[in-house]
Amino acid sequence: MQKNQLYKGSLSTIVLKLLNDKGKMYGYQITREVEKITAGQLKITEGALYPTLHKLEAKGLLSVEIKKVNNRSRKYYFLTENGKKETVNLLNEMKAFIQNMDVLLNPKLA
Amino acid sequence: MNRTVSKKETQYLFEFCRRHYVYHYDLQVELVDHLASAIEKQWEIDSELTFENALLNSFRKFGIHGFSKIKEQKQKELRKKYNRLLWKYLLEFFGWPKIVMTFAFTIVLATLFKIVGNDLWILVPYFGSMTIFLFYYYYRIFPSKFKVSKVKGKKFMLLDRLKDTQFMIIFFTQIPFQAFHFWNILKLSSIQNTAGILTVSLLIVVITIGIYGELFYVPQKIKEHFREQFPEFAL
Repeated sequence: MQKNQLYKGSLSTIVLKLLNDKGKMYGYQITREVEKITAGQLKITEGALYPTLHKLEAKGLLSVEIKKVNNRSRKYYFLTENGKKETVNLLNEMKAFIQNMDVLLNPKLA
Repeated sequence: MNRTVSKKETQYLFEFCRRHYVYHYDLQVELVDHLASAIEKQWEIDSELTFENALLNSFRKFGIHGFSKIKEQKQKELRKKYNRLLWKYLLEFFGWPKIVMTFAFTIVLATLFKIVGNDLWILVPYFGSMTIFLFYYYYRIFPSKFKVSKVKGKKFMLLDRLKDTQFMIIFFTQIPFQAFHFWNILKLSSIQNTAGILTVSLLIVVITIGIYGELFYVPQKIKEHFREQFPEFAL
């Protein structure tokens, strides 16, 4: 979907924000949760989600824990201390971006 | 009670990952759980759906690249992770008070160069023995210390990529040898002025510290990360 292109650059922020709110989450749960919150408007593809999770993990923003669930191992992601700080920064950046876009798209005529 | 993926089906999913060129357990675990969760979600709606069809539906969502893009990206991110760890180590090492040690080694080495006169008497034995040690380390010490090839019959990307990074250091130590050729071109048989001696000494000390970090610090950190993630496979 074309509109998903707009979200591509924000995927890290979306993932970090979700983990900030929900605590520990696994990959499939993240895709479902995004779909649920946005009422199906936004779908994160598997091919985009996992590289983002692995990137954030390699950067030390996420940590991992493995638990046994239904005969299989499940990898849970959660924010590290650095991850929490980065989430605050990214959310502030995102809010400023949205405000600027709003001003650009809805210019107040004098 | 909703139908769940059985143990046998889970094993099949691991086999499915292998057939799609995902050989590392650390990545397989995640993909198997994702596929299994997606299959179970479909069974919540249609419990009569066969396992095979549900799997196909779930796999289709990974797009035309399947697992390959995820695998490549993870390898790339791991390389970056090792580099970040090495930089962290170097920054720590070159911070106060360890930096004093670096300069002390540099001065000792520079004095040696002055006393010996012919630089090759120091450079050749040093980098020669370093290369021999690196081969010994790569083929003997590293495999016995880190058992990267297989842990309890499973391969891990986190460890496997580390082995490749370590091999690169052998090439890295060849840089000073190439520098000799450069000096020869310039027809300089020895490094004559004090600034030159100090620069070369510092370069050798920094390279040695970097190699030490790559061989011992980075693997140790990776080992700790591995132990945190996979305690049942603790090395």
